[in-house]
Parts: sequence; C-alpha cells; structure tokens
Amino acid sequence: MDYFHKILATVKDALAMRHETPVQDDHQDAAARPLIPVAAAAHRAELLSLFAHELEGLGARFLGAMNPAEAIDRAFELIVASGAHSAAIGAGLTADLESLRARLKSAGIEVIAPGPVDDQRRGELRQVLGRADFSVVEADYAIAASGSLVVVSTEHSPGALTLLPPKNLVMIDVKHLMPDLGTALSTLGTAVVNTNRVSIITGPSRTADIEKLIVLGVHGPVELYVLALWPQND
Amino acid sequence: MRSQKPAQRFIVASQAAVADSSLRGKIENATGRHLEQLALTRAAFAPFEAERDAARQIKHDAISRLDELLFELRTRLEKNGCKVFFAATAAQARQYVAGVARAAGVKRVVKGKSMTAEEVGLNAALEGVGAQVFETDLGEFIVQLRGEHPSHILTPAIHLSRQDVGALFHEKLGVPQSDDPQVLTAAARDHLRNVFLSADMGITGVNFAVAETGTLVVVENEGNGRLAHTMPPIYVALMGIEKVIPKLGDLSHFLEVLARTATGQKLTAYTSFISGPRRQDEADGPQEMHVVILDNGRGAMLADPVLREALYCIRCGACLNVCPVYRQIGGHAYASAYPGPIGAVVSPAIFGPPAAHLPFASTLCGACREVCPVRIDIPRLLLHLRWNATQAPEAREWPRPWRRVTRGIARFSRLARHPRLARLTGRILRTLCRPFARNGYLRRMPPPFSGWTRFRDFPTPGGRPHQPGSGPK
Repeated sequence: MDYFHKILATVKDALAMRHETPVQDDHQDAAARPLIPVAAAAHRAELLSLFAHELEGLGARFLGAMNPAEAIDRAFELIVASGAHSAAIGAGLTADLESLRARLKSAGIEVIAPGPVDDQRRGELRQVLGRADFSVVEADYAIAASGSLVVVSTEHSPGALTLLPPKNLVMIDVKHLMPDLGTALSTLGTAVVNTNRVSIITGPSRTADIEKLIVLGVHGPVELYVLALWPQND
Repeated sequence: MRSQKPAQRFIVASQAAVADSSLRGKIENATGRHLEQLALTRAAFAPFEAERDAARQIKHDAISRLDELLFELRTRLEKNGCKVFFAATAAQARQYVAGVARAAGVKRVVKGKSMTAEEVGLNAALEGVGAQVFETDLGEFIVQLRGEHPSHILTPAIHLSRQDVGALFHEKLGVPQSDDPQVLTAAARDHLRNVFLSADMGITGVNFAVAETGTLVVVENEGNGRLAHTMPPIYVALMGIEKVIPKLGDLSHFLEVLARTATGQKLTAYTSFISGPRRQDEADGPQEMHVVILDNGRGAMLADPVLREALYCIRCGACLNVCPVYRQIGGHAYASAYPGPIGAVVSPAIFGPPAAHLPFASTLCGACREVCPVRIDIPRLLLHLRWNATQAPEAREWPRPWRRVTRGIARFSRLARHPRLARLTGRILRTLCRPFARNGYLRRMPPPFSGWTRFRDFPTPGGRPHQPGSGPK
C-alpha cells in the first residue's frame, strides 16, 4: 500500500500555510521570454560551423558536411580504416544506411541491423552489440550551441547503438540542426518524449574520477564522429 | 560516561579534518577554482542570469502547486506503464524496493549515482534480501572495491592516487598493474560492462520529472546511468517529491544552468528522457519500471513558508565547492548524505535532531547564495533554522541560550548611548585584549569569552569608536 494520498494531503496542508515570496522578483512569464536569440533565418552554415566548433571542443570529431551519397562513402572509409570486424548500423532518415550495410557486408565486415526483438532475440542482440567495434546512427536533431545530438530510440535504431560500441558515428541532416536546447526540445515535442526513449548526447562519455584527470570513454563510447548531411539540391 | 552528541562529533571530525593537510589538499584539488570557472562560464554565456531567473521562477511556481503536479506526474507515469510508489519515510522506500527485489529474485543490482538512495540507506536493504549491489560510477566503484566510503561527493576517490587505483585494480580485478588513468578506466569499463549486461535490477536517481509527459530526466557524464536504465529487466528510479516540474518546455532552463554551475560544461555527456518501460519488441529499456517518490521530511520543509525555498535545489553541488567551511572539512564531517550549505539546510528536516547542529556550521558568508543556479538564499534559511533550534527544548547545550544574547545586546546598546563611557570602555578593552591579540584577531580568550573563541576569532577592538564626526579624515 503506498502513501500517495497521505503525502498529497500533507502537501496540500503545507501549501495552505501563508505564502511568502522570499525574493522580490520582477518577472513576467519567464518561459515565454526569448532567452537565447533565436533568429528564424539563422544561416545554416553559421549554425553548422558553431556546431562543429563545439563538437571538436568536446573531444569528438567533425567529419564535415557533404551530400548523402558522399556521406555513405566517408562512413564506409572510416569504418574500414578503423579495422572494425563488426559494425551495428541503425535506420537512416535522410541517409541511405541500407546501402552502407550492403557495402560493409561485401567488404567482409559483420553487419548488425537491429529490429524488433522478442525476449530471446533481445539478449542475443545485446551480446552482439556489445562486441561490435563501430556503430552508425542518424540523429533526429542536433544542437549548435552545445554541439549536442538528439537521438530518439526506435526498434531499428535502439539507444544501445550510441551506448555499447566503443566507436560511434552519428549523421545529422543540416535541416535538423537547431540553434539551442530550448528550440530542439520544443521541435522534438511532447508526443515523441512521451512514447520514446530519448538521449541528448554531448561528446564522448567522460570521467574525472581518477586524480581529477579527464578521461574520455567510460561506460559509453570512447570515440564520437559526426557527419553532417547537406543534400545537393538544398 | 556521557555519550557524544552529534554536535560534539561534528566538532571532533571537523578539527581532525582541518588538521589533515593531505585531505585538505585533496579537497582543494576537487573544489578549487570553482568560482573562477563559474565567472568564465557566466562570461561565455550571455543569457546565464536570465536562465537562473527563469529556473527559479519555474521552481517557485511548481513548488507552490506541488500537489497538482504530483498528481499529474503519477497519472502520466502510470499511463506510460510505470509502477509509482509514494514513500512517506525512508523505511517505506527501502521496504518497497527491497520487496520488488525479493519478489523478482534479484541477485545483482547496478546502481547509478543517487543521493536519494544514500539518504534512505537503500544498499543495506537490498543486501538484506540477498542482492549484491554494484556501484557503477567510476569513483564510487573504486571506493566500493576498497571497502571504503566516498571521501567527496563529486569525486568519491579523490583521496587516492592513480598508483593506488592501479594497485587496487591489479589486486581485485586481476588486470596488469598500470597507473595510466586511461588504461585503468578501460579496465573498469570492461569489468562493469559484464555486470551491466547480466544485472537483474538497475537503480538511478532522477534530476527532473516532467509532469506534462510523465518523463524522468537523468543527467550524467559516464554512461553508467544509461546502462542502468536500459539494460536490466527491472528499473527503479528514486526521486524526492520536489523534483517535479510542470512542462517539457521548462526543462531547457534548468539544463542550461545545471551543468554550467556544477562542472562548467554546457551539457553533460548524456541527458536521458525515460517515460516508461520498454514496448514489447523494443531492444532497449526495462520490462518493469518503478518510480519511488519520496517525502521523508520534504513535506515538513514545504509547510514552512521560509524553508520551502530549499526545495528549489537542483543538486548541482556548486554551493559545496565555494563554501569555506566545506572546503576545509570535506563531506565526512557533516555525517549526512547531504553535506555542505544546502545539506546544512535540508539535513535537519530529513534526518531530524542528529543533524540539528549543521545550520551552525556556517560563516554566513553568502558564497553559496551567489553561485546557486536557482538563487536559494541559503544564509537566510540557515538563520531561520538557527532560530528554530534555539527555540527547541534541546537547545540548552547548543547554542547558548537566547536570553544571554539579548541581555548582552541590551548592555551594549546602553553603553553605545554614552559616548564618553564608550570611549573609556574601548580604551580599557584595547589594553586588556593586547596580550591576546594576534595579527588583529583574538584567537583565544579566557572564560567567560572562551565559549566564543573556541570556534571563532574576534577582531581586536581598536581604532576610533564610531561617532558622528569621527569618520575618515
């Protein structure tokens, strides 16, 4: 039996106590105030260069902006050059990740393509993802101000892709590059958040627990690469 | 022999900590330069002050209708498929989680950092039902291997050198001896990875709970939190009642100030949104998700219109880093899951009389109020709690009774109204104090003044008395 009603009663009684506003604040509806200048007509290149600058500052690597076909070539080169034996590839939105899978297979690299799983398959998938050397996903949004990526977990692109393998390549369509966190969250929307696991990823995983020295790559990925997709007809 | 009271224990612990120069060096290393870093951060982010205001306003509104929001949160979480348990006390929280573990035959628990779990003493309860609890935050993992307690909230293993950690891992994990932090971190990663993938239950704390969508937000740098809430079949999230905020749109204001104030980052490496257990064919996520929402004294803070402000806290840790007291004595001396300035405010409400002395462990310098991202007026709250303590029956020993103070002030005010008498008294005092003065301060006075100088220095009386016409020439 839980104490929900008792606690609710306690809270109601507590709030019935006379209010005091400790600090004289001169607020309007603070949430509606534009806190970070969001220029609707922000030039994409400016945003992208800010994003790249922030990203590099986090210890991640920005591989540049290119059209989707070139992006697949670049991703393929990167994975092969890293000496990966197995790669987990998620579902693409703008990027044609299906063709990347095919090319990697022909190059003799084991390709893991996540999908809907039952209980048994789930365990197997996790083991396999745990052994993967590289993963590729396409992010739903990116945030220029902090160099972050917003990744919504789906059956074909589970969050584990950006968590288990030690090297992670994330693609992002420049049309989905948001100037700041507030815009990204409002664009993401409550419906998505209500029904999906979402991760905002800002750089590789890190710790400062040993002598306060920063080490990249703790329980999450050690290396993070980002590639921006800029379709030619844009 | 009379048993030591918590206040006396605190004094002894503080004196020991101050005398331990090695510990102080380590704390300095962990907390030092925070103010400079914060100034840089503020300079680099123009809307910082506006974001602090927004965050505070949202908290103010949220706390003022906490009952509505808790109801909405519970409704949405349950709709999303979570089991929600409201615990009025620490014991109820422990019993619930241990009960879930026992019913499911849980043998291995992976735990991300959770202050609430420390507060209620969850680990012991889980071990009591036969589960092994693995701390997964790297610093916590290290001290757990050593069988020690964390020496610092932010960096639990700051008291260890890399050689110490290397020797520890070599002995306990069987890895080749190394003192390279990169290699050691990789060793911990590999070891814990297996634990994560085989764990029966994952536990984390919660940074924010969005009522509108029924979403828990967990903020971290290492990735152990993400592993804990996506891999094991059972996930338990622990939060205090004050963590709930109304809307998704409110979140950005808190996230913009939280990491900046805590560590100088814009955002931590991972900000996760968890709204419920997994869908049937989803690879990630737990099968069962439990959310334990804890009162444990927070309702009492809410009932006090002054103390209510303490519930705005978003647990960034900045006030610890700038507090002159905390920086000298470290976290252990507070003997509470919540040390430092905000700890001194909330510990009495949460832990009762054993923590009643903590509001006195402050110089009231106000550095905490300066850095607090939601502008909590901590010194005001400490004074409020000190007043409460002096009214309590247990106040006979600590601090001195109120009447002596009021009498002293009355005497001083009589003196101050007679200028010649005041000047003469001043001259006599200066002469009497000269033998005890060191560098302009009275450090040790004989009784009856020793009660003050035991813990505080007093400026040596000197110079001209304050009188009209006697200002700087």
